[in-house]
Order: sequence, then C-alpha cells, then structure tokens
Amino acid sequence: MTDMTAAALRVLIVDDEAPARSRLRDLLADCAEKQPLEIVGDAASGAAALQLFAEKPCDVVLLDVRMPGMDGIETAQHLRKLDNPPAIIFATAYDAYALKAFEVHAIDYLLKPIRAARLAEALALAQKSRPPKPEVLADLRRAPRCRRVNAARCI
Amino acid sequence: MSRSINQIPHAHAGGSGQSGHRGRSARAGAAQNAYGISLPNFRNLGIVLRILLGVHVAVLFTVALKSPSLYTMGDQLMEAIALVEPLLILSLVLLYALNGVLSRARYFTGAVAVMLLVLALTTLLYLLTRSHLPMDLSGITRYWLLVGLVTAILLYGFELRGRALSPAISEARLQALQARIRPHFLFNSINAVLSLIRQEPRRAETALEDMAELFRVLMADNRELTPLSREIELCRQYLGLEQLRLGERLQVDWHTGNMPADAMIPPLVLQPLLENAVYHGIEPRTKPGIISINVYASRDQVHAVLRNPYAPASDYHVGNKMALANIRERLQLHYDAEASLTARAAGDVYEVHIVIPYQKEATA
Repeated sequence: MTDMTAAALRVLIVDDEAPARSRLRDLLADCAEKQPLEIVGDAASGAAALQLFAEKPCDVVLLDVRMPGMDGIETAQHLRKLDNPPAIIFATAYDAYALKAFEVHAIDYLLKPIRAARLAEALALAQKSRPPKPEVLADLRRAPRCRRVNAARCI
Repeated sequence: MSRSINQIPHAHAGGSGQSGHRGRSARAGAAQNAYGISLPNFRNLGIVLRILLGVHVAVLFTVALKSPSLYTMGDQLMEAIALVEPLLILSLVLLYALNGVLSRARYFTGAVAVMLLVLALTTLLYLLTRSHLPMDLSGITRYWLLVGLVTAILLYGFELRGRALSPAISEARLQALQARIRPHFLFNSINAVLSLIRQEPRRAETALEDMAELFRVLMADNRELTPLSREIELCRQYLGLEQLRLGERLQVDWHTGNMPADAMIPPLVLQPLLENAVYHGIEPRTKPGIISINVYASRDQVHAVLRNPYAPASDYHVGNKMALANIRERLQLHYDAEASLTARAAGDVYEVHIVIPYQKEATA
C-alpha cells in the first residue's frame, strides 16, 4: 500500500480564465510540499480538457463550472463515462452549482478564491478515493493465496 | 442633508408603481421635513402632463356632477373646458417661467406663491372676459373656490408623490439595487489579483487600486449626480479588471472623444450595463468579442450607446432584464419622462441606448 499512496497525484487544471489557471498552479505548488503531485497540463475549455485527458490520463481534474462552449458540468459528465475516470473537483466563484456538481459525482466543490489548505483537503480526499492501479489489481488476482499467507505471517 | 438632496433637481418628480408608495408615504408623514420635499419641477414634461390630466379630470368630475343627463354633459363639458383652458395654459407658462424662483423658495412659501399666482390669474381672466361690464367681482368667489381646490389637490398630490419617491426613500431602493452587483465579479476579480501577486506584483497593485475605487463608488451614497467623465473613468477601471481575467477575449471599442465630459448623470448608470455586456455577451463566447461604448451630446441630451455580441442563452433574459429595470427606475427617479433607456437585440448585436437631459454641474 505504501508505494501506491506515495505515487504522485496527477492533476489536470481546467479553467477558461488564464489568471485562474495560474493561481491554481501556484496553489498546487504549495500543496506539493505535503502531497506529491504532478500537473499533467491545463486546458482553457471543456473540449480541450477531454482531448488532453485522452492523451495524458490523470487522477484528478480541477474543473471550473462556468466556461463558454462546454461548461464544467457537461465536461464532468463526459469524463465520468471514460475508462479510469478521474476524480472531479469543481472550482468556481459560484455556490449555486453545488447540487449539480454532486449529481455528476464530484468529490469536492471549492469556492474561488481558493485557499491552499482547502485545496490540500480536496486533494487528500481524491487520494483516498483513488482506485488501485490496474496492475496492482492484477497482482492480487494472480496470487491471492500468497498474499494471504504473507499477511498471516506478519501478524 | 437637505442641501445634498436638493442638488438632485428632479429627484422627487417621477417613478412608477404608485400602488406601493401609499403605506410608505403615510409612515414618512411624521418626518416630512427630513425628506426635503420641494415643489414639483414645472419644467418637467411628466409634471406638466400630470397637471393637464389632473385639471381635466377635475373638470369632467364637476361637469358630471352638475349635468342632469349624459346628453347635456357633452355641451357643458365643452363650455367648461373652453373656460378652463386659457387659465390652465397661462398658469403653466407662468409656472414654467418662474420655476427657478419657486424651486429656490421654501416649500410652504412656494406652495402659497403658486396658489396666489393661480388665483390672481383667475381674477385677471374673469375681469378680462367681463370687461364690457363695470368692475364686478361678485361672481368670482365660486371660481376662486374651484380653482383653489383643484390647485390644492394637485399640490397635495405632488407632495405625497414627492415624499413617496423622495431620495431618502428611494435611497433604500437604490442600495437594494446596488447590492445586486454580481458577487461573482468580486470573487473572480480577487482570484485574478491573487494570481498576479507572485508573478506580477505591480499589476496586482493597480488592479487592487481599481477595485478599491470601484467598490468605493458601488458602496457610496449615490443620490448625487456625478460628472460623466467620472462614470467613464469608472467604466475603464471596471473593464480593466475584467480584461485581467478575460485577456484577449474582451475587446473594448471606445468612442468617447466627443462626449460632454461635464454633463451630470446619475452614478452607476453605465457600469452595470457594461457588467451585463461582459457577463452575457463576452463570457459565454469562446471567441473574442467587442464591447463598444459610444457617448455623445446631441441638442440638449446626452446619449450613451453600448453594444455587445448577442449570444442567446437560457439565463440571459432574467438577469439582464432585472439590471435594465433597475437602471430604468433610477433614471425615472431622477428625470421622470425626460430620460429613456431602450434595449434591443439586432442580429448578433445587443444594443442599449440611454438618453439623459444634458445638465452641466453649475445648473444641476
């Protein structure tokens, strides 16, 4: 388990406003001290985010709600349907979308301006809800007995 | 306090939705003087129309009471109107001419002066129409009574209305209107400034200064008129902040070279419209959009024409109409029928056109 949590959390930033993206980068850099993470990229629209996700999968998407074209809620709906869907954390200046956000199973909802500590909490939540990697699952399936024996020995 | 209220020349003269004011004016009765009630502005079109309407309704009423049947009423009505019209028109012309003097007088003095003026005119006309007879004033008391009554009722009506729409009360309404400045603008702007602090501290400083100035005006006592140049500066600061967030997506086309910078206008008439333009016209677009601002003077009026790209969206009408209604009401509170706001969508452009009477600071 230990090496799995230690793996850097891969984060994708989606916001139509450049200053908001740069702010999130700064905040993520602050959080990186406690929580190893890697920014896989940032996107200025929902469509760009989906494309980027297809190229570079990630664990968490920080998603703005009000964006021109495809909005955050719609983007989240698309992301959910993919294989290995990322955890969604909404980041918005509005509190009016919270209900909609949880309908698309967002794990957290952050109000701008966001505090680094609050972002760290959300990332910790994402880390917890992170599904085990496929290769780990495969290992478990291949040698269940062995692991059980090891566990018994440890106790 | 009354000084500052009186600086709004027509603040008491206008507004709609009378039904809601009755209760308020009754409550305000105890503190009448605090509201700085003054005579109506007899040069205002709305006031003149109301006087015309009031007098004619009074004539109709008296004739209807007097006539034995509907058939005779028509003739009697014509007679009565022929009698009333010269007096009415003369009174209006004189009140128009004396408006400056009357508006400087105290309310009670002014009201008595108006009453005396109208009664004097009645006497004059009475004597003129009976000039072939020897000086005879015996029949005039009836006219004095009628004219005096109608004048008193009209003055009382204007006073009630003025109290209901007085700046002190509409101030509460104005503040409620201002509280609706979109909170998302504040939070998004703070967020944008936060993003600048580490990389570009100087731009962050400018942005915070602009924000401070903007919110100082948003939170200020906005009963007094402000120079147009000040409002335009505020608009520039506001759009500067939005530019910070939106970058190239927001393009602004200023046509303010010929604007009458010294014109006095109600504060925050243009800025909320720009906020609308950004929120409804620019933010929903993926491509850059242009907001154009054209301010000019034409004859005795100041025109402001704002255009932004029109993107029909589900939430457009609700928020936009509320903001337009707010500004329309404020214009009415200040100018009654002499200012206007029209909004229309033509193709892919949304246009708001405001017309305000051109008043310079000295006369305001």
